[in-house]
Amino acid sequence: MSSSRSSGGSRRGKRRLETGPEPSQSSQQLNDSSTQSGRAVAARQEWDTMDSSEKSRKVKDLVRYLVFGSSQKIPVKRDELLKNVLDGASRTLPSAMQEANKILQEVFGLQAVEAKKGTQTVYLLINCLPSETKDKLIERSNKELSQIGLLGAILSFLMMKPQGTANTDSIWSVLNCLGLIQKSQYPEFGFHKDILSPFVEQGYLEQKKRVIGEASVFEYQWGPRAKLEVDKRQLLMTMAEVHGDEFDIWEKQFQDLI
Amino acid sequence: MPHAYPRVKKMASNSRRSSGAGSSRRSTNGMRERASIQYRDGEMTNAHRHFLQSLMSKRIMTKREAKKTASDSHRLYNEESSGEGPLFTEFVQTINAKLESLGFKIGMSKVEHDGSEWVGFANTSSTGGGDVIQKASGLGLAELEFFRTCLQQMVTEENNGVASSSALLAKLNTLQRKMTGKAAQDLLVSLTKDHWFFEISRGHYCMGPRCFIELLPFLPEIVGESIEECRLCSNRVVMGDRCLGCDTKLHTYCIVQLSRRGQVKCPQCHEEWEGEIPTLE
Ligand SMILES: [Zn+2]
Ligand SMILES: [Zn+2]
Repeated sequence: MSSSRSSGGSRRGKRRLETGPEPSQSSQQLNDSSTQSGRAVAARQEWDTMDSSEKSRKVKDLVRYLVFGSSQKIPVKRDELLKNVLDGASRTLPSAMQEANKILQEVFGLQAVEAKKGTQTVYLLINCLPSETKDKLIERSNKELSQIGLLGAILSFLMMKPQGTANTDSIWSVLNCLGLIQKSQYPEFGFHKDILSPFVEQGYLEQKKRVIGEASVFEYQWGPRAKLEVDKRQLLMTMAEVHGDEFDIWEKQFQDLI
Repeated sequence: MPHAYPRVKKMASNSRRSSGAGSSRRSTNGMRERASIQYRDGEMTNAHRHFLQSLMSKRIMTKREAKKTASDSHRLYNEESSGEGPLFTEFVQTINAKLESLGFKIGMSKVEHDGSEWVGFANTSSTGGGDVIQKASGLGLAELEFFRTCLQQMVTEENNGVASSSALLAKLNTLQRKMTGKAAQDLLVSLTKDHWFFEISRGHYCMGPRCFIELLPFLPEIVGESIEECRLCSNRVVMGDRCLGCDTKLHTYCIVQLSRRGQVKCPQCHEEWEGEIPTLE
């Protein structure tokens, strides 16, 4: 990625945050587009006239592809879906996705949601079970729990930054409070290279490179998955619960850092 | 050869039967023994979806853990209910009926080295064995090749399911994609941690629960050889014992199960089983 383009990207990102949270671009918006333009009507027709066994095969393939992607917790790229499932027929994607979402919801309690990751369009599978219960009991390994704890700390820290953005160093000053040391490996948490990149990969954090004179820094903000999956109020309550008395100290830490 | 079953001379084991884990009834965890009226036949509810998500997130659970998770899911969405849930197998069947046409299933399988029961989320449709491992594990091409080589070593007649890490590392120079000994050793550790393999004794590996649930149907394709079927349970058998009379291979845990019902006879030649009868501690 060229540096000029990415610094432009970070400016855009900031402007977006100033005008409040970005509206989530769900696939439903795409699906409702049939009334909007002639092109969408034509796309719908292209799908409707397709042989029904062909349609159901494609929808199943789409579901399988999304489920495999989500089992590695990595967002599925739109381009890959088109190439591997729909033989490049991009106009049929909205209709196929609508059908796939019916199955994903009925069987898995999941929903595919469209999001931007850099310049790419990706799909994430989001849990759509009733929200007050969905996070309570999903069984998780210790590794996952540690990751969730760290992620929670990072996301709540970002929430308290005025722009919702922080660079690598200030995120690390929070992780240092948790006793982690930058540039160490933490295989017990499932972090082999560095702590932030898996979260970027999974769409919880969005990473942007910003060039200041000679040097460049990475800035982080809430990624598409976090925006869709994480309830801000619940996050803060959980953090307060987990850290208990420490939360005051945390708050002070946050104040100091801001 | 290393083995997880303590061996005793045949027939000595009949006095010890279902004690301990087997006798703990499902009274406290909400899953009840008989069919439930709360779930209409074959209808998916949020409890089913919640259980499925939990399983997909963990990929593999012991059967006991899976039953507990299912009853937790049930209680989560049925707070006013009497606390009695459906039978676990019915609960899973409802989900599997929906998963079948999508080429997935909730699989249940015993693990050969100790007969323990596991539950996992598996892909059932395949276009080539390597493809199945890749989709399930997300491994890169070099790692996949080593994984496959490990399985090929484990299923050989002499190895009877168990391969030593030194034998596995010795195969590295036969791989098309190069991998260092250190990388291969690390991979063995992480495959063991992810329940693909099991370290049955120090430096000796056999197939772990995920292999039995996610790969067993594709195993002949993956290793390029046919795999015998156990005459007692009709599942494929890699690690087992052979009849001294007719050479039929049976799962050790199937022989144990048979021995609990009395004298063990070979299902093939009907002769009395000549080998040792293992016990499950
Ligand atoms: Zn058997
Ligand atoms: Zn025989």
